[in-house]
Amino acid sequence: MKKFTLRLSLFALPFVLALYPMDYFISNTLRKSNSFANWEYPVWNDIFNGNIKSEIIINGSSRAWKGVDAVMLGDAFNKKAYNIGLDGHDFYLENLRYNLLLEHNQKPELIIMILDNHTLAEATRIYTPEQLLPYMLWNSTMREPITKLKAYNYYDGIIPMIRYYGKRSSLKEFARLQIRKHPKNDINKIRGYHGFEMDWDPTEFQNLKNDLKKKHKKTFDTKLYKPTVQLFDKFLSESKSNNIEVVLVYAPEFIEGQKVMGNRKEIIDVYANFGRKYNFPFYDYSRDSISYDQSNFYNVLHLNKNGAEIFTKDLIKRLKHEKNLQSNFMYSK
Amino acid sequence: MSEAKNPSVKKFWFWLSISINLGFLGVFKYYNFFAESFAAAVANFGFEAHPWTLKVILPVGISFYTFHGLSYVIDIYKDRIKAERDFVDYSVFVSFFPLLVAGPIERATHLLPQIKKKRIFNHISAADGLKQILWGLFKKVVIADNCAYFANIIFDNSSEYSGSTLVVGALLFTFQIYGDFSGYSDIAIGTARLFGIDLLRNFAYPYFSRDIAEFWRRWHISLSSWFKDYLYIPLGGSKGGMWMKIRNTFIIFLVSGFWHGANWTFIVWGLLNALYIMPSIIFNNNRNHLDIVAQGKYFPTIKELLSMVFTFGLTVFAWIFFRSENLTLAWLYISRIFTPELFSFPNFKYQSSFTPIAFLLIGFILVEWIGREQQYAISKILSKSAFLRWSLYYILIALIFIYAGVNQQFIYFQF
Repeated sequence: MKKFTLRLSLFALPFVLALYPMDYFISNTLRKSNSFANWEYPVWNDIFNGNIKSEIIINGSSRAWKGVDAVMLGDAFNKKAYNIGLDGHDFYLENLRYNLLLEHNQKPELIIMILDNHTLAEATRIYTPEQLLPYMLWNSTMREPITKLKAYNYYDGIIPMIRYYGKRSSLKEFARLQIRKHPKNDINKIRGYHGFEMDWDPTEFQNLKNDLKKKHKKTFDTKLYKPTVQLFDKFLSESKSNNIEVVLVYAPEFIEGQKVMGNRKEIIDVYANFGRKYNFPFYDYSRDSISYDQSNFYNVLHLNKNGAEIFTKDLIKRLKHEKNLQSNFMYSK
Repeated sequence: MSEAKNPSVKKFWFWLSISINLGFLGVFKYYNFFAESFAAAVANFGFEAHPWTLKVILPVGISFYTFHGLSYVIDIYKDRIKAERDFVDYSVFVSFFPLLVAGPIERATHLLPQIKKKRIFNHISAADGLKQILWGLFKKVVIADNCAYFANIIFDNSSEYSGSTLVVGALLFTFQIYGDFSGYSDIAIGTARLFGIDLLRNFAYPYFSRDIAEFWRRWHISLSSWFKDYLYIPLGGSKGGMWMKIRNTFIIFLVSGFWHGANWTFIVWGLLNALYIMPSIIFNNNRNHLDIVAQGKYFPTIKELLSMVFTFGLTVFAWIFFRSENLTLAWLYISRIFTPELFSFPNFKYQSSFTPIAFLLIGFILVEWIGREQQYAISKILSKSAFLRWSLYYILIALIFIYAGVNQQFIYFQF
């Protein structure tokens, strides 16, 4: 038994010794990628490195990061703005990103919370879980929300390297970065925002309609998820008590697409009620003229670059006329 | 039963025990199949039947531990062993954890004495066990799970693909089921060896077989030999002349197909294999290849190679039935293979990410060929150099780490 244990320990020793250095090396290399994991690494890097340094934070899903130009918005108020919109997620993970921002950066003065039909739905998965890989190890803030969504287990956040098990695409990206081969789909997010110069593509909407037909349904209904609603309430309440202004903004959605979203009114009412409860402004852009013009969108839910500029400009105009903000935010230095 | 002095009392207890064992299996695994088949049959005559069906989850590995139990009872009845009076030892025999869910199907005569014997830790045997676990993991996680990913894409969307792609799909399933099941067996056998217990061998490089009879001596050996000892021989085996031999062979393969699951696809798979083996039964050459192919040589002869390719082709064809959800889908899959597009270049979704898997598959087949004279492929590989041997283990671990496929449940857990 002794001999067996000794030989086994000897065999395992190189692994044990190499685990942490390998993890450190792979994670640090992977962080440099600005094309992998839906271009999320640059934003995560800025959050973890304390580089956000902004008074205005734009939070939300892809409706946020593809729709609100942070530089334009910040310049309009002579302040710094950063867009931390997280692709493919609802408030559960958006809130995690915001909490991590608070942990590593200065507290913002204003949060523009971009909302959509799914913001308060149940989180069932992590979209592109690879985006979290380089930051997860020994990070207690991330551990619970991530393990709850079952993309990773408890030990993934505790033991070096094991979360890379079977993550072939991440390891491939690591290898690519090592040989410095340039990716094909590099985009340059500026302060978390990137506008997409794309024209309207009808195929996605058609697929959506076909999907409904297949399911013999007329609309897609989104179910509000109580724990996420409570989390959102907590976020608003804490922002209020920390003197952080929040502006709730229901993002523009192409009018034709709104017809297949069943319970939009019920959901928008929930947001409006939250605005009233905490005396935060609520803007509904789903009935704004932006939402009626197809040329502003590249699909039903996403603005193109031109649409994003129009939307950001209009948002700035509205914010400048917002009474609540004038005293607390606009004239602060 | 073992205490009974009167043969009829002994017989009573024997059949009672057999009935209870098979009763559980019948209720959990086959009741719905018979009820639904009955309803479908009477519907053909214009009657309507709404049979009551069970809505229970099939207990994992029920076919395996039922067969453990049956072998124990039959061996006592045949006076091959004595009844076990130690409940703990008996429980370990029936539910020994490495083999509980997917075998190998053990015999009381083989396993019980090992459980009762005092075992002393043997570091050579334990290290060998670890090595077999490693190889089993590689087969399951790298080969089977990756093949499964692409096989599922092709089988689930077979109407979209050309004949040549469907052939690739069938080939991938062929390696998936081998990697999955023999990988599990290696892990089970290796784990048992850590405890000083030698389990029955379950696979012996079946895809290098030169005829179907050899294939069945090398595939799921513990089940084949179970059927031979507890069904084929009691039915009369080959002693009753040609007709008896043919009948018993069909029964064995029919039951073997049915053992896998209550679905007509498994039954057709079993019958197809019975048909495959029939010529060698009729011409009495089913024991032609008892040796290892190209033993002591690097390459097989042309004749051996052609026999292996032919046997492999037959096996791949039969697996299409095994993999399909029902007979209609199996038939559609096969009919789509035999189109002019059979000679086009295969093309399927995510094909570009298949390239490294194809190389791993080729490497895997080579290692299996090199190690075909051993209990498992890497058993004696690079035995002259510890440095190279350890390097190989590290490479295997790295490959498992990097190329672990999307997690798939073991196929044989459902049986």
